[in-house]
Amino acid sequence: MSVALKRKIILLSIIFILAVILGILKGSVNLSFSELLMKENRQILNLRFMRVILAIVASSGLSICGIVLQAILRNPLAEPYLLGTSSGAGLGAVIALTLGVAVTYIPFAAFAGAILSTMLVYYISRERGKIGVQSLILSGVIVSIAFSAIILFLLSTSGKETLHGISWWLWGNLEVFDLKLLSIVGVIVTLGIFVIYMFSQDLNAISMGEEEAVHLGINVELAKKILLFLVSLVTAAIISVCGIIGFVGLIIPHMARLIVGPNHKFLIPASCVLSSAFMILCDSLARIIFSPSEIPIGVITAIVGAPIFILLLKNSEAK
Amino acid sequence: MRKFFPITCLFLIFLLVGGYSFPAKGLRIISLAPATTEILFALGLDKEIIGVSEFCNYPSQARAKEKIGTFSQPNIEKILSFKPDLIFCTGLEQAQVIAKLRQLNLNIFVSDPKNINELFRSIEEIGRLTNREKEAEKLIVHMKTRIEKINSRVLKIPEDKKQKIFIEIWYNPLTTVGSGSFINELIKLSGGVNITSDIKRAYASVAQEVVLKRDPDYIILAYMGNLSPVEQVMARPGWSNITAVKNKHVYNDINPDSLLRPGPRVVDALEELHKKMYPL
Repeated sequence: MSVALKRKIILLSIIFILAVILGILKGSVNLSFSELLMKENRQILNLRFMRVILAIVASSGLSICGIVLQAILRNPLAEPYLLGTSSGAGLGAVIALTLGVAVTYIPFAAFAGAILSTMLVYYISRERGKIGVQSLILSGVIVSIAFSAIILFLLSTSGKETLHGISWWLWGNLEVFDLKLLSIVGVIVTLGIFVIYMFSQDLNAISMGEEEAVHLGINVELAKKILLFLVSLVTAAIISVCGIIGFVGLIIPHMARLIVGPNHKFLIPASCVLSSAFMILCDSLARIIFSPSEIPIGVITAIVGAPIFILLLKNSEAK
Repeated sequence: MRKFFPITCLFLIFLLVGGYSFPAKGLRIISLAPATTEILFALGLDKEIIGVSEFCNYPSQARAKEKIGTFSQPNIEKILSFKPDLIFCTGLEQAQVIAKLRQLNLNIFVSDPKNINELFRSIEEIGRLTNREKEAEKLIVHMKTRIEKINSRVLKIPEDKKQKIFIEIWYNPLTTVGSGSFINELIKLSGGVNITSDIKRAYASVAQEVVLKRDPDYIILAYMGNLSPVEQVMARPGWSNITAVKNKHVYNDINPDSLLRPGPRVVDALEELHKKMYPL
Protein backbone atom coordinates (compact mmCIF):
# COMPACT_ATOMS: atom_id res chain seq x y z
CA MET A 1 0.00 0.00 0.00
CA SER A 2 1.42 3.35 -1.00
CA VAL A 3 1.78 6.22 1.46
CA ALA A 4 -0.76 8.32 -0.41
CA LEU A 5 -3.33 5.55 -0.24
CA LYS A 6 -2.68 5.07 3.47
CA ARG A 7 -3.24 8.76 4.05
CA LYS A 8 -6.49 8.71 2.13
CA ILE A 9 -7.77 5.75 4.13
CA ILE A 10 -6.85 7.41 7.41
CA LEU A 11 -8.60 10.59 6.29
CA LEU A 12 -11.74 8.61 5.36
CA SER A 13 -11.71 6.90 8.74
CA ILE A 14 -11.46 10.24 10.54
CA ILE A 15 -14.43 11.59 8.55
CA PHE A 16 -16.33 8.41 9.42
CA ILE A 17 -15.64 8.76 13.16
CA LEU A 18 -16.64 12.43 13.11
CA ALA A 19 -19.87 11.51 11.31
CA VAL A 20 -20.69 8.87 13.92
CA ILE A 21 -20.10 11.37 16.73
CA LEU A 22 -22.29 13.95 14.98
CA GLY A 23 -25.00 11.37 14.31
CA ILE A 24 -25.19 10.58 18.00
CA LEU A 25 -24.95 14.15 19.27
CA LYS A 26 -27.50 15.66 16.88
CA GLY A 27 -31.06 14.53 16.40
CA SER A 28 -34.66 15.65 16.19
CA VAL A 29 -34.62 16.55 19.85
CA ASN A 30 -32.10 19.22 20.81
CA LEU A 31 -30.04 17.93 23.73
CA SER A 32 -26.68 19.10 24.98
CA PHE A 33 -23.86 16.57 25.47
CA SER A 34 -24.30 16.46 29.25
CA GLU A 35 -28.07 16.15 28.94
CA LEU A 36 -27.61 13.27 26.54
CA LEU A 37 -25.56 11.37 29.11
CA MET A 38 -28.20 11.74 31.82
CA LYS A 39 -30.03 8.62 32.85
CA GLU A 40 -33.45 9.88 31.81
CA ASN A 41 -32.25 10.29 28.24
CA ARG A 42 -30.58 6.88 28.03
CA GLN A 43 -33.30 5.58 25.70
CA ILE A 44 -32.85 8.49 23.30
CA LEU A 45 -29.12 7.77 23.21
CA ASN A 46 -29.89 4.11 22.49
CA LEU A 47 -32.24 5.05 19.66
CA ARG A 48 -29.58 7.26 18.10
CA PHE A 49 -27.01 4.47 18.40
CA MET A 50 -29.35 2.06 16.65
CA ARG A 51 -30.09 4.57 13.94
CA VAL A 52 -26.38 5.13 13.31
CA ILE A 53 -25.84 1.36 13.20
CA LEU A 54 -28.66 0.91 10.70
CA ALA A 55 -27.18 3.74 8.61
CA ILE A 56 -23.80 1.97 8.60
CA VAL A 57 -25.31 -1.42 7.80
CA ALA A 58 -27.63 -0.17 5.06
CA SER A 59 -25.16 2.13 3.33
CA SER A 60 -22.26 -0.34 3.43
CA GLY A 61 -24.48 -3.10 2.10
CA LEU A 62 -25.91 -0.95 -0.69
CA SER A 63 -22.56 0.43 -1.82
CA ILE A 64 -20.87 -3.01 -1.81
CA CYS A 65 -23.77 -4.47 -3.82
CA GLY A 66 -23.33 -1.58 -6.24
CA ILE A 67 -19.62 -2.38 -6.57
CA VAL A 68 -20.25 -6.07 -7.22
CA LEU A 69 -22.92 -5.42 -9.86
CA GLN A 70 -20.84 -2.72 -11.56
CA ALA A 71 -17.95 -5.20 -11.73
CA ILE A 72 -19.93 -8.23 -12.91
CA LEU A 73 -22.06 -6.34 -15.41
CA ARG A 74 -19.19 -4.01 -16.39
CA ASN A 75 -21.76 -1.25 -16.42
CA PRO A 76 -21.24 2.04 -14.54
CA LEU A 77 -25.01 2.49 -14.16
CA ALA A 78 -25.49 -0.78 -12.27
CA GLU A 79 -26.96 -0.38 -8.77
CA PRO A 80 -28.38 -2.73 -6.14
CA TYR A 81 -31.99 -2.29 -7.25
CA LEU A 82 -31.19 -3.22 -10.85
CA LEU A 83 -32.11 -6.88 -10.41
CA GLY A 84 -35.73 -6.15 -9.58
CA THR A 85 -35.26 -6.20 -5.81
CA SER A 86 -37.02 -2.91 -5.11
CA SER A 87 -40.17 -3.61 -7.09
CA GLY A 88 -40.17 -7.21 -5.81
CA ALA A 89 -40.04 -5.98 -2.23
CA GLY A 90 -42.72 -3.40 -2.95
CA LEU A 91 -44.96 -6.04 -4.51
CA GLY A 92 -44.46 -8.36 -1.54
CA ALA A 93 -45.48 -5.59 0.84
CA VAL A 94 -48.47 -4.47 -1.23
CA ILE A 95 -49.78 -8.04 -1.48
CA ALA A 96 -49.35 -8.48 2.28
CA LEU A 97 -51.25 -5.23 2.94
CA THR A 98 -54.00 -6.17 0.49
CA LEU A 99 -54.43 -9.53 2.21
CA GLY A 100 -54.69 -7.72 5.53
CA VAL A 101 -51.50 -9.14 7.06
CA ALA A 102 -50.46 -7.36 10.27
CA VAL A 103 -47.96 -4.54 9.70
CA THR A 104 -45.32 -6.37 11.75
CA TYR A 105 -44.91 -9.04 9.08
CA ILE A 106 -44.56 -6.62 6.20
CA PRO A 107 -40.73 -6.62 6.34
CA PHE A 108 -40.79 -10.39 5.86
CA ALA A 109 -43.20 -10.12 2.94
CA ALA A 110 -40.92 -7.50 1.39
CA PHE A 111 -37.88 -9.70 1.91
CA ALA A 112 -39.61 -12.68 0.30
CA GLY A 113 -40.75 -10.53 -2.62
CA ALA A 114 -37.24 -9.20 -3.18
CA ILE A 115 -35.65 -12.68 -3.12
CA LEU A 116 -38.30 -14.14 -5.43
CA SER A 117 -37.95 -11.33 -7.94
CA THR A 118 -34.15 -11.73 -8.15
CA MET A 119 -34.59 -15.48 -8.57
CA LEU A 120 -36.99 -14.81 -11.40
CA VAL A 121 -34.53 -12.40 -13.02
CA TYR A 122 -31.79 -14.98 -12.64
CA TYR A 123 -33.78 -17.77 -14.29
CA ILE A 124 -34.95 -15.59 -17.15
CA SER A 125 -31.39 -14.57 -17.95
CA ARG A 126 -29.89 -18.05 -17.73
CA GLU A 127 -28.90 -19.66 -21.00
CA ARG A 128 -27.34 -23.12 -21.09
CA GLY A 129 -26.20 -22.85 -17.51
CA LYS A 130 -24.56 -19.46 -18.08
CA ILE A 131 -25.75 -16.00 -17.13
CA GLY A 132 -25.30 -13.45 -19.87
CA VAL A 133 -24.45 -9.94 -18.73
CA GLN A 134 -26.78 -8.26 -21.21
CA SER A 135 -29.68 -10.57 -20.55
CA LEU A 136 -29.26 -10.13 -16.80
CA ILE A 137 -29.64 -6.35 -17.12
CA LEU A 138 -32.56 -6.67 -19.52
CA SER A 139 -34.47 -9.23 -17.49
CA GLY A 140 -33.88 -7.12 -14.38
CA VAL A 141 -35.42 -4.12 -16.09
CA ILE A 142 -38.33 -6.16 -17.46
CA VAL A 143 -39.16 -7.80 -14.14
CA SER A 144 -38.99 -4.36 -12.47
CA ILE A 145 -41.38 -2.84 -14.99
CA ALA A 146 -43.80 -5.76 -14.79
CA PHE A 147 -43.81 -5.78 -10.98
CA SER A 148 -44.24 -2.01 -10.78
CA ALA A 149 -47.22 -2.36 -13.09
CA ILE A 150 -48.75 -5.00 -10.82
CA ILE A 151 -48.16 -2.74 -7.80
CA LEU A 152 -49.92 0.13 -9.53
CA PHE A 153 -52.72 -2.20 -10.59
CA LEU A 154 -53.26 -3.34 -7.00
CA LEU A 155 -53.08 0.23 -5.72
CA SER A 156 -55.61 1.48 -8.25
CA THR A 157 -58.12 -1.36 -7.92
CA SER A 158 -58.04 -1.91 -4.19
CA GLY A 159 -60.35 0.32 -2.21
CA LYS A 160 -58.14 -0.11 0.84
CA GLU A 161 -56.79 3.13 2.18
CA THR A 162 -54.11 1.11 3.98
CA LEU A 163 -52.13 0.87 0.79
CA HIS A 164 -51.28 4.54 0.91
CA GLY A 165 -48.91 3.64 3.71
CA ILE A 166 -46.86 1.85 1.10
CA SER A 167 -45.41 5.10 -0.19
CA TRP A 168 -42.61 4.82 2.36
CA TRP A 169 -40.93 2.29 0.06
CA LEU A 170 -40.13 5.11 -2.26
CA TRP A 171 -38.79 7.36 0.47
CA GLY A 172 -36.65 5.22 2.73
CA ASN A 173 -36.32 5.63 6.45
CA LEU A 174 -33.64 4.65 8.94
CA GLU A 175 -35.74 4.57 12.10
CA VAL A 176 -35.38 1.30 14.04
CA PHE A 177 -38.65 -0.15 15.35
CA ASP A 178 -37.62 -3.70 16.03
CA LEU A 179 -34.29 -4.67 17.57
CA LYS A 180 -34.57 -8.28 16.41
CA LEU A 181 -35.10 -7.24 12.83
CA LEU A 182 -32.09 -4.92 13.01
CA SER A 183 -29.85 -7.70 14.36
CA ILE A 184 -30.97 -10.22 11.72
CA VAL A 185 -30.35 -7.71 8.94
CA GLY A 186 -27.06 -6.65 10.52
CA VAL A 187 -25.80 -10.25 10.57
CA ILE A 188 -26.90 -10.95 6.99
CA VAL A 189 -25.28 -7.78 5.65
CA THR A 190 -22.04 -8.18 7.62
CA LEU A 191 -21.58 -11.81 6.56
CA GLY A 192 -22.50 -10.91 2.99
CA ILE A 193 -19.90 -8.13 2.82
CA PHE A 194 -17.30 -10.41 4.43
CA VAL A 195 -17.79 -13.16 1.83
CA ILE A 196 -17.84 -10.62 -1.01
CA TYR A 197 -14.53 -9.25 0.29
CA MET A 198 -13.00 -12.72 -0.07
CA PHE A 199 -13.88 -12.51 -3.75
CA SER A 200 -11.92 -9.23 -4.21
CA GLN A 201 -9.34 -10.79 -6.55
CA ASP A 202 -12.04 -12.48 -8.60
CA LEU A 203 -13.91 -9.18 -8.86
CA ASN A 204 -10.71 -7.45 -10.01
CA ALA A 205 -10.34 -10.03 -12.77
CA ILE A 206 -14.02 -10.15 -13.79
CA SER A 207 -14.25 -6.38 -14.04
CA MET A 208 -11.50 -6.54 -16.69
CA GLY A 209 -13.54 -8.97 -18.76
CA GLU A 210 -14.83 -12.49 -18.28
CA GLU A 211 -12.43 -14.05 -20.79
CA GLU A 212 -9.44 -12.52 -19.07
CA ALA A 213 -10.74 -13.83 -15.78
CA VAL A 214 -11.08 -17.35 -17.23
CA HIS A 215 -7.49 -17.14 -18.45
CA LEU A 216 -6.42 -16.26 -14.93
CA GLY A 217 -7.93 -19.54 -13.80
CA ILE A 218 -11.07 -18.18 -12.17
CA ASN A 219 -14.31 -20.13 -12.26
CA VAL A 220 -16.26 -17.10 -13.49
CA GLU A 221 -19.70 -18.71 -13.63
CA LEU A 222 -19.47 -20.05 -10.09
CA ALA A 223 -18.13 -16.74 -8.75
CA LYS A 224 -20.90 -14.87 -10.52
CA LYS A 225 -23.55 -17.18 -9.13
CA ILE A 226 -22.32 -16.83 -5.55
CA LEU A 227 -21.89 -13.06 -5.84
CA LEU A 228 -25.34 -12.51 -7.38
CA PHE A 229 -26.88 -14.61 -4.64
CA LEU A 230 -25.12 -12.55 -1.96
CA VAL A 231 -26.11 -9.27 -3.60
CA SER A 232 -29.78 -10.19 -3.74
CA LEU A 233 -29.74 -11.46 -0.16
CA VAL A 234 -28.08 -8.29 1.19
CA THR A 235 -30.25 -5.90 -0.84
CA ALA A 236 -33.45 -7.71 0.12
CA ALA A 237 -32.49 -7.60 3.80
CA ILE A 238 -31.76 -3.87 3.68
CA ILE A 239 -34.90 -3.03 1.72
CA SER A 240 -37.08 -4.91 4.17
CA VAL A 241 -36.08 -2.61 7.06
CA CYS A 242 -35.51 0.77 5.49
CA GLY A 243 -37.27 0.88 2.15
CA ILE A 244 -35.59 2.20 -0.97
CA ILE A 245 -32.71 4.60 -0.40
CA GLY A 246 -31.45 5.64 -3.79
CA PHE A 247 -28.14 7.08 -4.90
CA VAL A 248 -25.88 5.44 -2.27
CA GLY A 249 -25.48 2.15 -4.13
CA LEU A 250 -24.92 3.89 -7.44
CA ILE A 251 -22.65 6.83 -6.64
CA ILE A 252 -20.61 5.83 -3.59
CA PRO A 253 -18.76 3.05 -5.50
CA HIS A 254 -17.74 5.61 -8.13
CA MET A 255 -16.69 8.13 -5.48
CA ALA A 256 -14.62 5.50 -3.68
CA ARG A 257 -13.03 4.42 -6.97
CA LEU A 258 -12.06 8.03 -7.65
CA ILE A 259 -10.43 8.19 -4.21
CA VAL A 260 -8.68 4.84 -3.72
CA GLY A 261 -8.59 3.37 -7.23
CA PRO A 262 -10.21 0.28 -8.77
CA ASN A 263 -8.54 -2.49 -6.70
CA HIS A 264 -11.39 -4.21 -4.87
CA LYS A 265 -9.13 -5.09 -1.94
CA PHE A 266 -9.13 -1.40 -0.99
CA LEU A 267 -12.27 -0.33 -2.78
CA ILE A 268 -14.59 -2.49 -0.65
CA PRO A 269 -13.45 -1.30 2.80
CA ALA A 270 -13.12 2.29 1.56
CA SER A 271 -16.68 2.18 0.21
CA CYS A 272 -17.99 0.87 3.52
CA VAL A 273 -16.37 3.72 5.42
CA LEU A 274 -17.21 6.41 2.88
CA SER A 275 -20.85 5.37 2.43
CA SER A 276 -21.40 5.07 6.18
CA ALA A 277 -20.06 8.57 6.79
CA PHE A 278 -22.16 9.89 3.91
CA MET A 279 -25.35 8.18 5.08
CA ILE A 280 -24.98 9.26 8.72
CA LEU A 281 -24.41 12.87 7.66
CA CYS A 282 -27.40 12.80 5.31
CA ASP A 283 -29.56 11.24 8.01
CA SER A 284 -28.52 13.92 10.52
CA LEU A 285 -29.50 16.57 7.99
CA ALA A 286 -32.84 14.83 7.36
CA ARG A 287 -33.60 15.02 11.07
CA ILE A 288 -32.30 18.50 11.83
CA ILE A 289 -33.46 20.72 8.92
CA PHE A 290 -37.18 20.75 9.76
CA SER A 291 -36.92 19.46 13.32
CA PRO A 292 -39.01 17.98 14.87
CA SER A 293 -40.36 16.62 11.59
CA GLU A 294 -38.19 14.55 9.28
CA ILE A 295 -37.41 14.65 5.57
CA PRO A 296 -37.15 11.35 3.65
CA ILE A 297 -33.49 10.29 3.65
CA GLY A 298 -33.53 9.47 -0.08
CA VAL A 299 -34.15 13.13 -0.87
CA ILE A 300 -31.08 14.23 1.09
CA THR A 301 -28.75 11.53 -0.30
CA ALA A 302 -29.53 12.68 -3.84
CA ILE A 303 -29.41 16.44 -3.18
CA VAL A 304 -26.18 16.27 -1.15
CA GLY A 305 -24.53 13.48 -3.12
CA ALA A 306 -24.90 14.83 -6.65
CA PRO A 307 -22.80 18.00 -6.19
CA ILE A 308 -20.11 16.14 -4.24
CA PHE A 309 -19.88 13.58 -7.00
CA ILE A 310 -19.67 16.23 -9.73
CA LEU A 311 -16.85 17.97 -7.82
CA LEU A 312 -14.90 14.73 -7.49
CA LEU A 313 -15.42 13.89 -11.15
CA LYS A 314 -14.25 17.32 -12.33
CA ASN A 315 -11.27 17.08 -10.00
CA SER A 316 -10.16 13.71 -11.36
CA GLU A 317 -10.57 14.88 -14.95
CA ALA A 318 -8.34 17.88 -14.23
CA LYS A 319 -5.56 15.58 -13.09
CA MET B 1 -123.71 11.45 -6.26
CA ARG B 2 -123.04 12.21 -9.87
CA LYS B 3 -122.37 15.82 -9.00
CA PHE B 4 -119.59 14.75 -6.78
CA PHE B 5 -117.86 12.62 -9.43
CA PRO B 6 -115.73 15.36 -10.99
CA ILE B 7 -114.83 16.62 -7.56
CA THR B 8 -113.84 13.14 -6.44
CA CYS B 9 -111.80 12.76 -9.59
CA LEU B 10 -110.06 16.01 -8.99
CA PHE B 11 -109.47 15.03 -5.42
CA LEU B 12 -107.99 11.68 -6.48
CA ILE B 13 -105.71 13.32 -9.03
CA PHE B 14 -104.64 15.75 -6.37
CA LEU B 15 -103.86 12.92 -4.03
CA LEU B 16 -101.88 11.05 -6.64
CA VAL B 17 -99.85 14.06 -7.74
CA GLY B 18 -99.36 15.33 -4.22
CA GLY B 19 -98.55 11.91 -2.82
CA TYR B 20 -96.02 11.28 -5.54
CA SER B 21 -93.02 12.96 -4.00
CA PHE B 22 -90.85 14.65 -6.55
CA PRO B 23 -87.47 13.22 -5.56
CA ALA B 24 -86.43 16.57 -4.09
CA LYS B 25 -87.13 18.16 -7.45
CA GLY B 26 -85.30 15.24 -9.04
CA LEU B 27 -82.02 16.18 -7.41
CA ARG B 28 -79.27 13.77 -8.42
CA ILE B 29 -76.18 13.92 -6.20
CA ILE B 30 -72.73 12.39 -6.53
CA SER B 31 -70.27 12.57 -3.68
CA LEU B 32 -66.57 11.98 -4.24
CA ALA B 33 -65.59 12.68 -0.65
CA PRO B 34 -66.19 10.16 2.18
CA ALA B 35 -66.71 12.95 4.72
CA THR B 36 -69.29 14.73 2.57
CA THR B 37 -71.07 11.44 1.90
CA GLU B 38 -71.50 11.07 5.65
CA ILE B 39 -72.91 14.59 5.89
CA LEU B 40 -75.33 13.96 3.00
CA PHE B 41 -76.65 10.80 4.63
CA ALA B 42 -76.96 12.61 7.94
CA LEU B 43 -79.16 15.16 6.17
CA GLY B 44 -81.42 12.33 4.96
CA LEU B 45 -80.44 12.48 1.30
CA ASP B 46 -80.28 8.71 0.88
CA LYS B 47 -82.58 8.70 -2.16
CA GLU B 48 -80.90 11.61 -3.89
CA ILE B 49 -77.37 10.19 -3.72
CA ILE B 50 -76.80 8.24 -6.92
CA GLY B 51 -73.07 7.64 -6.78
CA VAL B 52 -70.17 7.72 -4.32
CA SER B 53 -66.41 7.10 -4.35
CA GLU B 54 -64.96 3.72 -3.48
CA PHE B 55 -63.77 5.03 -0.12
CA CYS B 56 -67.26 6.09 0.95
CA ASN B 57 -68.02 3.27 3.39
CA TYR B 58 -70.19 4.98 5.99
CA PRO B 59 -73.09 4.76 6.75
CA SER B 60 -73.71 1.21 5.59
CA GLN B 61 -76.17 2.43 2.91
CA ALA B 62 -73.25 4.18 1.23
CA ARG B 63 -71.72 0.80 0.43
CA ALA B 64 -74.78 -0.09 -1.62
CA LYS B 65 -74.50 3.00 -3.80
CA GLU B 66 -72.99 2.90 -7.25
CA LYS B 67 -69.20 3.36 -7.08
CA ILE B 68 -67.77 5.85 -9.51
CA GLY B 69 -64.07 5.18 -8.98
CA THR B 70 -61.46 6.02 -6.38
CA PHE B 71 -61.06 9.19 -4.41
CA SER B 72 -58.51 10.86 -6.68
CA GLN B 73 -59.38 9.09 -9.94
CA PRO B 74 -63.12 8.96 -10.40
CA ASN B 75 -64.52 7.69 -13.66
CA ILE B 76 -65.53 10.87 -15.50
CA GLU B 77 -67.58 9.06 -18.15
CA LYS B 78 -69.57 7.28 -15.49
CA ILE B 79 -70.19 10.58 -13.72
CA LEU B 80 -71.43 12.12 -16.98
CA SER B 81 -73.70 9.16 -17.71
CA PHE B 82 -75.39 9.66 -14.33
CA LYS B 83 -76.38 13.22 -15.29
CA PRO B 84 -75.82 14.56 -11.78
CA ASP B 85 -77.20 17.92 -10.69
CA LEU B 86 -74.63 18.33 -8.01
CA ILE B 87 -71.19 16.84 -7.37
CA PHE B 88 -69.46 17.14 -4.02
CA CYS B 89 -65.67 17.15 -3.99
CA THR B 90 -62.93 17.94 -1.52
CA GLY B 91 -59.50 19.62 -1.32
CA LEU B 92 -56.09 19.29 -2.86
CA GLU B 93 -55.97 15.68 -4.02
CA GLN B 94 -58.99 16.31 -6.20
CA ALA B 95 -57.86 19.61 -7.74
CA GLN B 96 -57.23 17.99 -11.12
CA VAL B 97 -60.53 16.15 -11.12
CA ILE B 98 -62.40 19.28 -10.09
CA ALA B 99 -60.83 21.29 -12.92
CA LYS B 100 -61.82 18.59 -15.40
CA LEU B 101 -65.40 18.36 -14.13
CA ARG B 102 -65.76 22.14 -14.20
CA GLN B 103 -64.73 22.17 -17.86
CA LEU B 104 -67.64 19.83 -18.51
CA ASN B 105 -70.01 22.42 -17.04
CA LEU B 106 -70.95 20.22 -14.14
CA ASN B 107 -72.22 21.69 -10.93
CA ILE B 108 -69.42 21.23 -8.38
CA PHE B 109 -69.34 22.03 -4.71
CA VAL B 110 -65.96 21.80 -3.00
CA SER B 111 -65.96 21.31 0.73
CA ASP B 112 -62.66 21.05 2.52
CA PRO B 113 -63.13 22.23 6.11
CA LYS B 114 -59.92 22.81 8.05
CA ASN B 115 -61.55 23.25 11.45
CA ILE B 116 -64.84 22.65 13.25
CA ASN B 117 -66.30 26.06 12.38
CA GLU B 118 -65.58 25.53 8.71
CA LEU B 119 -67.22 22.11 9.03
CA PHE B 120 -70.38 23.73 10.39
CA ARG B 121 -70.32 26.27 7.60
CA SER B 122 -69.97 23.57 4.96
CA ILE B 123 -72.79 21.51 6.50
CA GLU B 124 -74.92 24.65 6.32
CA GLU B 125 -73.94 25.23 2.71
CA ILE B 126 -74.62 21.60 1.77
CA GLY B 127 -78.03 21.89 3.44
CA ARG B 128 -78.81 25.02 1.45
CA LEU B 129 -77.78 23.44 -1.87
CA THR B 130 -79.87 20.34 -1.28
CA ASN B 131 -82.95 21.99 0.24
CA ARG B 132 -82.21 20.48 3.62
CA GLU B 133 -81.67 23.69 5.59
CA LYS B 134 -83.70 22.52 8.55
CA GLU B 135 -81.97 19.17 8.79
CA ALA B 136 -78.59 20.88 8.48
CA GLU B 137 -79.50 23.29 11.25
CA LYS B 138 -80.62 20.38 13.44
CA LEU B 139 -77.42 18.43 12.78
CA ILE B 140 -75.27 21.44 13.64
CA VAL B 141 -77.17 22.16 16.85
CA HIS B 142 -76.90 18.50 17.83
CA MET B 143 -73.15 18.48 17.22
CA LYS B 144 -72.67 21.79 19.01
CA THR B 145 -74.56 20.58 22.07
CA ARG B 146 -72.35 17.51 22.35
CA ILE B 147 -69.20 19.58 21.88
CA GLU B 148 -70.43 22.06 24.49
CA LYS B 149 -71.01 19.26 26.97
CA ILE B 150 -67.40 18.10 26.63
CA ASN B 151 -66.17 21.68 26.71
CA SER B 152 -67.89 22.43 30.02
CA ARG B 153 -65.99 19.50 31.53
CA VAL B 154 -62.70 20.48 29.88
CA LEU B 155 -62.95 24.02 31.28
CA LYS B 156 -62.72 22.57 34.78
CA ILE B 157 -59.40 20.85 34.05
CA PRO B 158 -56.44 23.01 35.09
CA GLU B 159 -53.92 23.62 32.33
CA ASP B 160 -51.15 21.61 34.05
CA LYS B 161 -53.42 18.60 34.55
CA LYS B 162 -54.20 18.25 30.86
CA GLN B 163 -53.11 14.94 29.34
CA LYS B 164 -50.39 14.88 26.68
CA ILE B 165 -51.33 12.83 23.66
CA PHE B 166 -49.52 11.40 20.64
CA ILE B 167 -51.48 10.41 17.55
CA GLU B 168 -49.81 7.85 15.29
CA ILE B 169 -51.18 7.87 11.75
CA TRP B 170 -48.61 5.44 10.33
CA TYR B 171 -45.49 3.76 11.68
CA ASN B 172 -42.89 3.79 8.93
CA PRO B 173 -42.14 6.60 8.60
CA LEU B 174 -43.59 7.45 12.01
CA THR B 175 -46.33 9.90 11.00
CA THR B 176 -48.29 12.18 13.28
CA VAL B 177 -50.46 15.29 13.18
CA GLY B 178 -49.39 18.93 13.48
CA SER B 179 -51.36 22.03 14.37
CA GLY B 180 -52.63 22.38 10.80
CA SER B 181 -54.85 19.33 11.13
CA PHE B 182 -58.43 18.73 12.12
CA ILE B 183 -57.34 16.20 14.73
CA ASN B 184 -55.24 18.82 16.51
CA GLU B 185 -58.41 20.82 17.14
CA LEU B 186 -60.27 17.70 18.28
CA ILE B 187 -57.48 16.96 20.77
CA LYS B 188 -57.68 20.50 22.10
CA LEU B 189 -61.47 20.36 22.42
CA SER B 190 -61.28 16.99 24.17
CA GLY B 191 -58.99 18.48 26.81
CA GLY B 192 -55.73 16.98 25.61
CA VAL B 193 -52.45 18.48 24.47
CA ASN B 194 -51.02 17.30 21.14
CA ILE B 195 -47.29 16.76 21.77
CA THR B 196 -46.43 17.71 18.19
CA SER B 197 -48.60 20.81 17.85
CA ASP B 198 -45.43 22.87 17.25
CA ILE B 199 -45.37 21.36 13.76
CA LYS B 200 -47.34 23.70 11.53
CA ARG B 201 -48.29 21.23 8.80
CA ALA B 202 -51.27 18.90 9.05
CA TYR B 203 -49.22 15.72 8.86
CA ALA B 204 -45.50 15.13 9.36
CA SER B 205 -43.09 12.32 10.09
CA VAL B 206 -41.07 12.50 13.29
CA ALA B 207 -38.26 10.48 14.86
CA GLN B 208 -39.05 8.19 17.78
CA GLU B 209 -36.81 10.26 20.06
CA VAL B 210 -39.29 13.13 19.75
CA VAL B 211 -42.00 10.91 21.24
CA LEU B 212 -39.63 9.66 23.94
CA LYS B 213 -38.55 13.16 24.94
CA ARG B 214 -42.03 14.67 24.99
CA ASP B 215 -43.37 11.68 26.92
CA PRO B 216 -47.10 11.48 26.07
CA ASP B 217 -49.64 10.24 28.63
CA TYR B 218 -51.76 8.71 25.86
CA ILE B 219 -50.94 7.19 22.48
CA ILE B 220 -53.70 6.80 19.92
CA LEU B 221 -53.04 4.65 16.87
CA ALA B 222 -55.15 5.62 13.88
CA TYR B 223 -53.82 3.76 10.86
CA MET B 224 -56.15 3.86 7.88
CA GLY B 225 -57.49 0.34 7.58
CA ASN B 226 -57.47 -0.78 11.22
CA LEU B 227 -54.19 -2.66 11.25
CA SER B 228 -52.64 -0.86 14.19
CA PRO B 229 -50.86 -3.29 16.54
CA VAL B 230 -50.83 -2.05 20.15
CA GLU B 231 -48.40 -4.70 21.44
CA GLN B 232 -45.81 -3.92 18.78
CA VAL B 233 -45.90 -0.24 19.61
CA MET B 234 -45.39 -0.95 23.31
CA ALA B 235 -42.50 -3.32 22.50
CA ARG B 236 -40.52 -0.80 20.46
CA PRO B 237 -37.01 -0.23 21.77
CA GLY B 238 -37.00 2.59 24.32
CA TRP B 239 -40.76 3.08 24.38
CA SER B 240 -41.18 1.23 27.69
CA ASN B 241 -40.20 4.44 29.50
CA ILE B 242 -43.02 6.49 27.98
CA THR B 243 -45.77 7.23 30.50
CA ALA B 244 -48.48 6.10 28.06
CA VAL B 245 -46.77 2.72 27.62
CA LYS B 246 -46.06 2.30 31.34
CA ASN B 247 -49.74 2.90 32.14
CA LYS B 248 -50.90 0.85 29.10
CA HIS B 249 -52.60 3.89 27.65
CA VAL B 250 -51.98 2.91 24.05
CA TYR B 251 -55.22 2.55 22.10
CA ASN B 252 -56.25 1.58 18.60
CA ASP B 253 -60.01 1.37 19.14
CA ILE B 254 -61.02 4.86 18.04
CA ASN B 255 -62.26 4.48 14.49
CA PRO B 256 -59.63 6.23 12.35
CA ASP B 257 -62.34 7.29 9.90
CA SER B 258 -64.17 9.31 12.54
CA LEU B 259 -60.88 10.91 13.60
CA LEU B 260 -59.61 11.65 10.12
CA ARG B 261 -62.79 12.60 8.24
CA PRO B 262 -64.23 16.09 8.74
CA GLY B 263 -67.82 14.85 8.96
CA PRO B 264 -70.59 14.37 11.56
CA ARG B 265 -68.67 11.59 13.28
CA VAL B 266 -65.88 13.89 14.52
CA VAL B 267 -68.04 14.44 17.57
CA ASP B 268 -67.94 10.67 18.25
CA ALA B 269 -64.15 10.79 18.04
CA LEU B 270 -64.10 13.83 20.30
CA GLU B 271 -66.22 12.11 22.95
CA GLU B 272 -64.13 8.95 22.75
CA LEU B 273 -60.88 10.91 23.11
CA HIS B 274 -62.26 12.72 26.12
CA LYS B 275 -63.55 9.52 27.71
CA LYS B 276 -60.14 7.85 27.27
CA MET B 277 -58.23 10.67 28.94
CA TYR B 278 -60.73 11.64 31.63
CA PRO B 279 -62.79 8.58 32.54
CA LEU B 280 -65.78 9.50 34.71
